[in-house]
Amino acid sequence: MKIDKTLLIIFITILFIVIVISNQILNQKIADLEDKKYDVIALNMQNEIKNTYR
Amino acid sequence: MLQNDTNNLSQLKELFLNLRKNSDYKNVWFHLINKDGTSFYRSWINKSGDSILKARVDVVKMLQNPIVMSTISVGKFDMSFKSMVPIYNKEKNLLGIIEILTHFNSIAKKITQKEMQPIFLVDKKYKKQLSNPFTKLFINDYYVSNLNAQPKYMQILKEKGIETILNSDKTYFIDSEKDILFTFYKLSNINGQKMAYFFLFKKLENINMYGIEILKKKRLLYILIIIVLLSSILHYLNNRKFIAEISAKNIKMEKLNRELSNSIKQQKEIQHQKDKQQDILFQQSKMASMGEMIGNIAHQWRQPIAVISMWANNIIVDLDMDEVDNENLRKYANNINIQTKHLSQTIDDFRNFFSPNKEKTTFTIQDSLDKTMNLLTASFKIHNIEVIQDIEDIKFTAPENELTQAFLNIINNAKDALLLKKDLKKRVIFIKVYKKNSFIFIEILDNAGGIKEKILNKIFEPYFTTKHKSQGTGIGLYMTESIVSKHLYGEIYAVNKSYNYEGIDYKGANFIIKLPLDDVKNKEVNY
Repeated sequence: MKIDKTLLIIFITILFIVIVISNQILNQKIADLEDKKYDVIALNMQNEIKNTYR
Repeated sequence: MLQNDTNNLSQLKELFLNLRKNSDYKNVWFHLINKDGTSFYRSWINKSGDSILKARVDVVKMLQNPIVMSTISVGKFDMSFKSMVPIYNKEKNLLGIIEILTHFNSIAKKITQKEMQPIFLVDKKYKKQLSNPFTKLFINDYYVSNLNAQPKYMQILKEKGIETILNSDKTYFIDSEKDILFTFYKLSNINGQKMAYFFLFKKLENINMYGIEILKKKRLLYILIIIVLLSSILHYLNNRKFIAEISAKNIKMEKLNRELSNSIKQQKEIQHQKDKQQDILFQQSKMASMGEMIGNIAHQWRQPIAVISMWANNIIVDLDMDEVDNENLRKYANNINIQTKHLSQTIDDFRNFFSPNKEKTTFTIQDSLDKTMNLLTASFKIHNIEVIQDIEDIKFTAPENELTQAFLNIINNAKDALLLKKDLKKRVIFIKVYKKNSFIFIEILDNAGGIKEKILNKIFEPYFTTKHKSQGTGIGLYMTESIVSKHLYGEIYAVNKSYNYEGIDYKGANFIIKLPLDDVKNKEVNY
């Protein structure tokens, strides 16, 4: 298939930008989820100690 | 009031032993306090009856507002955990308080069973108070109250700085080098002052992160989906662009087709005009030939007419002399008949030659040449032109009249050239027909001196003539070339040839016609 060069350059640029942005979004999402998860774990740990000594 | 009774005390001791035995906490002590604030029983020391109100603010508060209360306290040796419960009789009158005390080692041991590692720190303001610390462990000025505190976790706290951690708003902390998550919980005394901090550590590998791990793996999948989607868009856009280009090219091509169609129409029109013009040329050529033919016919007829006239005169003479003899009369009449037949044959030949019959027939080249020569014999005799033939017997399928016309034009041309040469002792035309490969070669050679080299390549062009206007039209050889190439699918060309005949050197024009043996049979003649 013949591909228009300009279109190909635009496509690669957009693809690169989209991949970088989506990767950042996904990384942020994963970091947020990890933060929430660790938050919950930490609170559970605090509850454990409270329940243990009270 | 609690009864200071020996029986009661022994029962209480037994009860406390059972409680300790059945408790998770092994270092447990009990303290019974009267409602007036005097100590009734201490399980760890044989001492009672002393008032503790001055030393214990929490007991004072408890007696004023008797509710279940937990608190911690720091003494000389360690930090202890205390839980106080009010005691009532059946009439719901307050009898006193039961206080249960324990160290944090027991709590710490229990915590480790839950995949956590604890470090219990006593606030640094109690450092002086801890004159004889039980664990002897300190992180900076913070006393570590649990013996099972692991050094690597103590190191983490030391590195990160306890003050920094305590002043932070964060719920948890991560030590990525050691893959540890830790959090802390602040404990205050009854007056709300910070007394201790419970740090809890957990290995990251013990935390179930399945959902997040899946998401991390899916990240690659999401990126792949994005690539596929964008590739599809590229494909669509690219296709759309090319479809647009193809459409534009189609429109251009349609335009070109229309132009081409118009051009073809114009070309056809021009061709039609040319054909018409050529037909006119043909007609002109034939008319020219006819003019010459009439001259030839006149020669052809002269002798028979003279003979007829002679026999008619003989009849008249016989009549005048009254010597009419039937036998002689029959003889004269027969002779006249023979001559009239000869005249009639001449007319037939003439008519056949000019007939518009263009049907393909199979004939021999000899026949065709004979027909041509029949029309020319008389003229040749008058002008002393000798025709020498060397002809193979070859059959050929084509419109015969066309070939005859071609022969007539070339031979007439040779005759005209010969007539211009007044000094020639002998006028000769050689006709040679032979077959070579799949072609018939017909050579017509004269001895009129040949054609000038500079005009040799122009003789087949229309309206090209070297003859005087009254004699030549310039159409004859052009028509001959047209007939040979278009109607007979052959070639014609002329060369000058020098040769010796009967000991005399001659030079003349040699016209060579090359005809394909098969093609003309299979092709439709194009007029």
